[in-house]
Amino acid sequence: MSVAPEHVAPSVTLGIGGVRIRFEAAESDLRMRVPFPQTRFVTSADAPADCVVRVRIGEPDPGPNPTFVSGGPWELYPGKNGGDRLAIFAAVGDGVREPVMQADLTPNLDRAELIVHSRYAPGRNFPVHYPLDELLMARLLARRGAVILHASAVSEEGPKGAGAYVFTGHSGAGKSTMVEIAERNGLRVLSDDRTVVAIENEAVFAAGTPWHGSYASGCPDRVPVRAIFLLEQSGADGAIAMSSDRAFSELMVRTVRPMAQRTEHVAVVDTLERVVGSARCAVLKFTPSDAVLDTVRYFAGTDC
Amino acid sequence: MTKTQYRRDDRHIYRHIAGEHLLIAIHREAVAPMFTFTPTAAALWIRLEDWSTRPGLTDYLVENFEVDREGADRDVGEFVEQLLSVGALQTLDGEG
Repeated sequence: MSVAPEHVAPSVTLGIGGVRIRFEAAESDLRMRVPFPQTRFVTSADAPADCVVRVRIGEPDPGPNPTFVSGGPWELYPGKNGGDRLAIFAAVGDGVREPVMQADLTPNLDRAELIVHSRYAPGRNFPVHYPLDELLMARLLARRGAVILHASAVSEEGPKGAGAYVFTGHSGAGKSTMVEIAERNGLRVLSDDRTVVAIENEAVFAAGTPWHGSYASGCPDRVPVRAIFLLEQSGADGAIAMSSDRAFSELMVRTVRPMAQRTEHVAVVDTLERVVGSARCAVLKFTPSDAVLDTVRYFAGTDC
Repeated sequence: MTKTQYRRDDRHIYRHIAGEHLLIAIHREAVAPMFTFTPTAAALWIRLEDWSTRPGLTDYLVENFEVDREGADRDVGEFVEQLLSVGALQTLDGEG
């Protein structure tokens, strides 16, 4: 199936991990421009969106006193009517940065009013992509029993249906290597850098995201998880089951958490606690060769 | 005489998972993003939902655990200092 390099329309709905955000123009000549690979996550507008973002061009001015400074390109400010104000900044040189976007969010995140600087919407086409989409998605997913992990994920069909393997670890541990090994052996790549992990009725699912590393793609499929692996490169292949408390700690430090409210942080903790209680988790010691898949499947109890 | 009271803050979340008592900082850039408690410390953390003094916490340990007062007071002191060092406690100075 071919995927358009970009998608341009007055409104667009992105669906990631079961959450839908619709971006719509608040001005008649404004368009939403979705680049690849976000285009793979464009979904029908027929179903209701979890959050509707109304977009207009203007001068973002979040105010003087942030309530939270991320240390990255975004900050939080007091919003209107009990909600938050999310500001995204860009460097303009000499260590100076200025706000390029400002989103006023309702307390339950069902709506947002987004002001975008004209320089960030050339030709009056607003680019719908990172970091705004990830920042909103992470908070919405948290409220729905899901988290975004620094992890890669691949899936394959088996006698009992599709199943996913999730690979996490420190930078350079081999998340992308596992993706390469999996893909050349016919497995489907969900993501190579950020993966949604969700729990529903004590079943754990993984879903791809468009926020990628070198693989530069992603797949929107949502697949039951067979096992979660913490990668360690080694001279031999082997999987060692992890205790739930260790799995919780390892996943917690690798969770994307741009949360504003304590309830969202608590939701992330609750989700991870349930995930490690339901999913098989192991340390995967591996050599970068195709043979590691045998170890992965054996631990996961896969019949493939 | 000043009697300082302590209460746990809302920037940390406690969980008991697979037998381990974990304290998780909400913000990743916290001094200690995550650390483990002993069962006694976990009991003190739960107790710190309400304002408590060090003598009050010591009394609680003596009454509920097999520990002498000197040992309990030492444990409470170390635990309170540990929580203060990672910003997990609110303090309220009062006159005793």
